[in-house]
Amino acid sequence: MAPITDTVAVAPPANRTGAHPAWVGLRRLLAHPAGLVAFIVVLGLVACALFAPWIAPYDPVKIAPRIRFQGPSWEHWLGTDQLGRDVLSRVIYGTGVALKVALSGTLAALLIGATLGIVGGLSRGSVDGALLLLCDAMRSLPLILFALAIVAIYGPSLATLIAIIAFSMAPGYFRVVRNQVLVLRSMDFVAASQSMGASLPRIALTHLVPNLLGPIIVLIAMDIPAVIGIESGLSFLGQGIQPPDPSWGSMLSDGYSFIRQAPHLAIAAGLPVIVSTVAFTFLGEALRDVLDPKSSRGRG
Amino acid sequence: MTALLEVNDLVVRYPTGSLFGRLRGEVREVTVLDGVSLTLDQGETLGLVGESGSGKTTLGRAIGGMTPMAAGSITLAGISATGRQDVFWREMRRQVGFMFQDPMAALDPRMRLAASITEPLAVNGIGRTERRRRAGDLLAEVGLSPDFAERFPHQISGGQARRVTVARALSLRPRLVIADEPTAGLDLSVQGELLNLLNAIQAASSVSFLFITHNLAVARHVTDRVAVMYLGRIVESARTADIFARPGHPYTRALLSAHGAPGATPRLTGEIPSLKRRPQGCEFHTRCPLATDRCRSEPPAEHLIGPQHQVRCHFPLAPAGKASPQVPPAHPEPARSQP
Repeated sequence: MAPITDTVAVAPPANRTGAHPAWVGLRRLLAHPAGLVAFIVVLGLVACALFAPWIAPYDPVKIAPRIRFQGPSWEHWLGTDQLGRDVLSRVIYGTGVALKVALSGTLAALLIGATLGIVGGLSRGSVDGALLLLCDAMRSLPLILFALAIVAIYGPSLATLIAIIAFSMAPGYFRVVRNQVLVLRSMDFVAASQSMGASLPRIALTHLVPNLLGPIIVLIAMDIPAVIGIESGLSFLGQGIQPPDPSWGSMLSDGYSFIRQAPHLAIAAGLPVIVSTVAFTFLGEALRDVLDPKSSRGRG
Repeated sequence: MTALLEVNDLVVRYPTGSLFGRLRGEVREVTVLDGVSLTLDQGETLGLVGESGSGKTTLGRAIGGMTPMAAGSITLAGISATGRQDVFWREMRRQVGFMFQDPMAALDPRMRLAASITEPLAVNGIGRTERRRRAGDLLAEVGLSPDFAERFPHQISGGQARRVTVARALSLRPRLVIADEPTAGLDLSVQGELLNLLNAIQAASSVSFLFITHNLAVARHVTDRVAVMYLGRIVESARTADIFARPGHPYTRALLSAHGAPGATPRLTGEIPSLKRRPQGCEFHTRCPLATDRCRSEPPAEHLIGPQHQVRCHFPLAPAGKASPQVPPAHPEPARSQP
């Protein structure tokens, strides 16, 4: 063992000292090429969703029978649909619907899944076993059949859609959070906390939740495309967002019906689905790289 | 001096084996600690030494209530673990500070050091401003500058993390600190600094240390008494000077010779037997150079071969008249860094 005498003397670079990990993470995300592009696209989508009434050139539900099936022009950049509605405006308003469903559905799923995951991981034993069984039972249901059954019972609406998404995504969050809790509770800092006499809720709030945030953020970003897919799929089947509200899925369905007369309809509705899915997936992968503790170890 | 900590016949068992193994009626649990007794006075440092797997860490964890005990009792400052359990553990957690083997793993990577250090205070309901003030004091006490308070664990070195865990262990002003391998993974100069720090803290506050280590040089430097563990039992305990000068148990002699002490006896060969299949009779007979038929059949009792010097062996070596090697510097003389 060669003595290394400078261990105490060497301090981390001063400018990094005390920087909150979230800021460090954001800085590194913007330095990540795919992460930067994905982040900008996602910001753009969010802007479209928030400022749709100011961005969209026309009213998305205003019918104009005289200008049906028009191709792209200077007046209507993406043309008009079978009822003469402006496609660009409908795509922009559809962004809001898609993101609203995706975010609220994912957050509801996260809330349910993470809470049960922490409970299961901390309690182990029979409670954990019952939750696991429930989770596996949920996952064994074919998603579309489950969704169609729920819609058949409660009728198609935004709330039904969000509930379906929450219940179908929650088992995934449960699994990830529970396994992460099992890993964390075997760590010495949790044992240290227990040796101080900390209660389980206290350990969950001070040690588990902060350490779970990284993997959860990645999981959310990765799941949003799937949720957008579910919303589009159900709307395509006519069981999601109901007309005349604009939704990418129902627009895609209309475009599909008129694909010979007006192919621009299907393309205009399909592109945002593809772009948002790819952007969120890349964002998730970039976040995974950036938040990986191994990559943060060296650079702090 | 009355005993601060008293452990009597402590037994710890871990469940083991697969479901199928259990169905076939195989061993269901292993006995990790088999009737361990020890006492520790206020202001005293007791070293626990032994090979890996001898149960040192488990003993420390059991005393801290992190591992359930199967039998036996623990008494701390007159309160016993067999009495009112919850009262005992509340008192225990306030009176005992812990230093874990791996200081980095013992610090939450997402928590600032100030929050980690004062976590025991937070658990005991002490307010934020008071905690902030105490964090600065504790950092100063372990020789770290105040700007460490806002750092995260990955921004400090292993030696600094060790100091942080010392600060956390001291935050409630405990009467006992259980230090599990506190010098592991530190280079020699940092080891020396840390041992000096612990000595200084003890001199200032008369805190007791239960010092778990396999490093005999460290044990010799900082402990007042040493207990040698083998396969979940204490096979020999004595004052530090006595154990290094006149080791009574063949295992202790083998450990000392493995460490390069003069007058080497045969070195240890073979491995620690599996806890699942404890040897009959004396548990050390499979590796003991002096083993006889009696050792293979009859478990040895504890013999007193000197003042405070107990040995669990049929044939304790007590060369009382023999000129002992030079007596090592005993605590509380400050430890120098190792050569």
